[in-house]
Amino acid sequence: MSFEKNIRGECVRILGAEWVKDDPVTLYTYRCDGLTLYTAPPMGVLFPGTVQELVSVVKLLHQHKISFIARGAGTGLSGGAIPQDGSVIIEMARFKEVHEVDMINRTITVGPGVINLRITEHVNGDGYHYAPDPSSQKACTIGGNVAENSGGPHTLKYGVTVNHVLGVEMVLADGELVTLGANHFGLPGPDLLGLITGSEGTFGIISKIICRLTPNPEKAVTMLGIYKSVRDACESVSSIIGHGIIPAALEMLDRIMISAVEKALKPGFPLDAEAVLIVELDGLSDGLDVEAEVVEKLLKETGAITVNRARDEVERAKIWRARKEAFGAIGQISPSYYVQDGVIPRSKLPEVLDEISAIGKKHGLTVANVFHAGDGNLHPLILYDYENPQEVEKAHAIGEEILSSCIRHGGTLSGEHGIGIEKAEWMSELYSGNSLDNMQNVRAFFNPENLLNPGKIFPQPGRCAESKSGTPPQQASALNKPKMVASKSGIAV
Amino acid sequence: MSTFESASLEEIQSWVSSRIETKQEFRICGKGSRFVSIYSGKSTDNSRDFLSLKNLNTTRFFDPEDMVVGVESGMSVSTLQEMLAERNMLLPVNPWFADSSIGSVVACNDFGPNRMNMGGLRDCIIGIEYINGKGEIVHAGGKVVKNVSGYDLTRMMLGSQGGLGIITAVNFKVMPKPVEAHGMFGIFNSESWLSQVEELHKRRIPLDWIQAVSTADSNWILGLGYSGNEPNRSRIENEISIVFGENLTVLADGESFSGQKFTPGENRFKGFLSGIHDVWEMPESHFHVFATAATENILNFPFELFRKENFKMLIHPIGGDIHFMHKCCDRKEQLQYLEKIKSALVHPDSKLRWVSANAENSLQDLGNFGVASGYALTQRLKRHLDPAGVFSSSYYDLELDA
Repeated sequence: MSFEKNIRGECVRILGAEWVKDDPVTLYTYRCDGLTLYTAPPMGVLFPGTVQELVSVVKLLHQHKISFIARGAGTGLSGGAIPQDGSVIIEMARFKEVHEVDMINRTITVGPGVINLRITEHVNGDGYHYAPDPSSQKACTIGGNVAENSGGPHTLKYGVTVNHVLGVEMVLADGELVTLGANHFGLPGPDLLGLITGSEGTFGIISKIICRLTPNPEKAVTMLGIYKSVRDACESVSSIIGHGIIPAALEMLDRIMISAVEKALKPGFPLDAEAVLIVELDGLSDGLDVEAEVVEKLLKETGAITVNRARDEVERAKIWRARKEAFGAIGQISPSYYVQDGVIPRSKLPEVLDEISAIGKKHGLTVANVFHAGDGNLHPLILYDYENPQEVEKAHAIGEEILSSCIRHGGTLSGEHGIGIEKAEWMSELYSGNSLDNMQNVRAFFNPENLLNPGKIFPQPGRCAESKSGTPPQQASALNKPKMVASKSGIAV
Repeated sequence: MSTFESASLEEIQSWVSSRIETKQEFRICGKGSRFVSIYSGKSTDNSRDFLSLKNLNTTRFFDPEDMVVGVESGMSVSTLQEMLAERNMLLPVNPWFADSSIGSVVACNDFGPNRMNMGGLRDCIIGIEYINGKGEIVHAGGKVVKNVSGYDLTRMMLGSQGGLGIITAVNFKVMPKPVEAHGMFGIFNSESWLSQVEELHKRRIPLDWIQAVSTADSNWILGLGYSGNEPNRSRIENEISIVFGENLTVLADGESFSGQKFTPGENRFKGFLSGIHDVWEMPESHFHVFATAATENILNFPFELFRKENFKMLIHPIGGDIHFMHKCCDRKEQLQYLEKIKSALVHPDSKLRWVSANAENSLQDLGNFGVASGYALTQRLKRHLDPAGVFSSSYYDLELDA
């Protein structure tokens, strides 16, 4: 599927020739996002640079019933930006302007193409930061974060994207420009801003975002609990929370992950440990050490062999690098991995982790774990060889059994990666028919012709008929039976 | 006018389905603690029926280890808070009206003073059950604290003011109670505290809440809430003293300030608004408008003018909101006061809600100040989700300039 001549001509008229791309290299580049299991080339890629240009191309595509997808940095891990119906990709990278910083109201207004970490870098000198910090924050964009309602290690205390976005400007499927939210919370009426956050680009394309700024903590104490069993580490998590302490972060790595990060990054984690628990407390410097002593005591009471405290910023940075680049480190021990993102009630951690280990053993593949323990947000990494078709099939089976376990224990399919293509078929396992129909009814309001990011979030019976530009049947069936390919990007969460 | 009430979700669903089938409008009420006439239509219009959810009030689940709870809509906030308090937890929403139901605070997206530090309902709601415009029971979200599985219909229903469906149960993540909650209090005879609060804000000191309240003799009581272990609290007290001098009194939670009824007993904010109405001897149809605005707009607001016109005010300056109250009950006079407030708020993002007013007043009087941005989209969404038009809520019926 390629641009019809007249459509291409219109796009060039609106954007200029250099911002309309449909050459083979571009189409190959944009065939997938961070989830490389599924690939499909777009019809073309458009690069609007202003809101007016964005509105014009959306109106054009809407008029011709051509489906389209907004894309940020392409770091998403659930296939939310895969143009599976040969959709046009609207690349938002040029929307990288910082519009306004307002210190008294603690807000920053930015374009959706601004990289997450840039926001913090922009205001760090004034003593503020943008709190949601997905591990891909060096690459992912704030627009993508809003689309996926991204999290990160520090969301335990500070919350996820929806808690830190105050307002957006958004282009609807027919090109209408709307504003939602304001420079403060507490607006009357239904929380449409909350609704569109995490809607995976199926309700509109965001063109401007007002983010909340959070004061930097005066001090952070980062501790590393070392354990002889994963179960003990889980007990420590429950104990800390049970004592009314909400750390800034509570992150766990199991033995396999420890081995991988030690090989790749050498943070000094003991290779004979079964688990390490990263606990970070932050706040005013006064009283923080007292709280840290309480936490240290709790860790030891629940089975930590030793508890090490980062002595300075260098040691702290080393620990966090090991955590945030853990996915990439897996390349040291496996040719490829497939990561899941299920969430379970925190109290179920020990039994679900035991189940995950048993599922891996049953299928003969290793499953490593690095996850947001305080939130119960698991990231099992299923290690396999992409050149071995049997292992590919097994990896799929393990992933499905893990999701099934999460649902069975009262959890959910995704904590921060979204549903995308990857888990769309699983939605009917999680929600009743009524509840799913109701979600689709809301989609039908924002996106009545299903032109915006089709084929995502919901199970797809007969989806080929959904848009004029639909994927040819043979391509659709290829998508339905995806070939799992290497996933060595190291895109972390 | 009649009221249907039941403790059975199935019976309620069946009643709603029959109303949808016959396209008969009705209003939803919880425990009837708020001014239904203003939220749901003019009180003089008695043609619509009511659905009361007050008997739908059981606890669906409470998992203290996971710090999550699910309750039915008719339960009062204070009942839920008492249950949570037994496990040293709380929902960071202060029951301004002590008897407000969970369903109503969610439908109105209420919050309280400690939203500044702990967030509001928006930050702790994790799941919802509601009856939609087809009469179906819908579940969204879940019981876990992080969830991006599908659309966030939970937040869509937050603040929906009864117009998009009937909220029958809500799941929350809850928080540990603050450690050693304290407050520093002082009396001010001018608005000098505004610049001091701004200075404190710039120092980025982590306070739990800041609240200024008019006294009966037109002074202000300023309270600054904080918590934490002893060294932490000492540091905060020191920072506050640097800005305010030695004029403030330190009190532990539960201790009243100078015999003032503005700082009530065991929980400073429980039923606070009802109590303050009594203290100020506000008549039943008194003027009470609630404004939300950005910090900068509040810190620069001309409070002195309103104080001199005998307004009573309750202010949360950071992030931020203002309650304007006046004894006057006359509609014409109330509308004049309303226009004064609109003029003074300046910024178009500032918003207003009625809390109490002459029965003839309506949401329409608030104009664009009464609705959020994207209002036209909201009206269209209402028509889409409630095609039979049975969920009566005047929020969606306003005629406004574009």
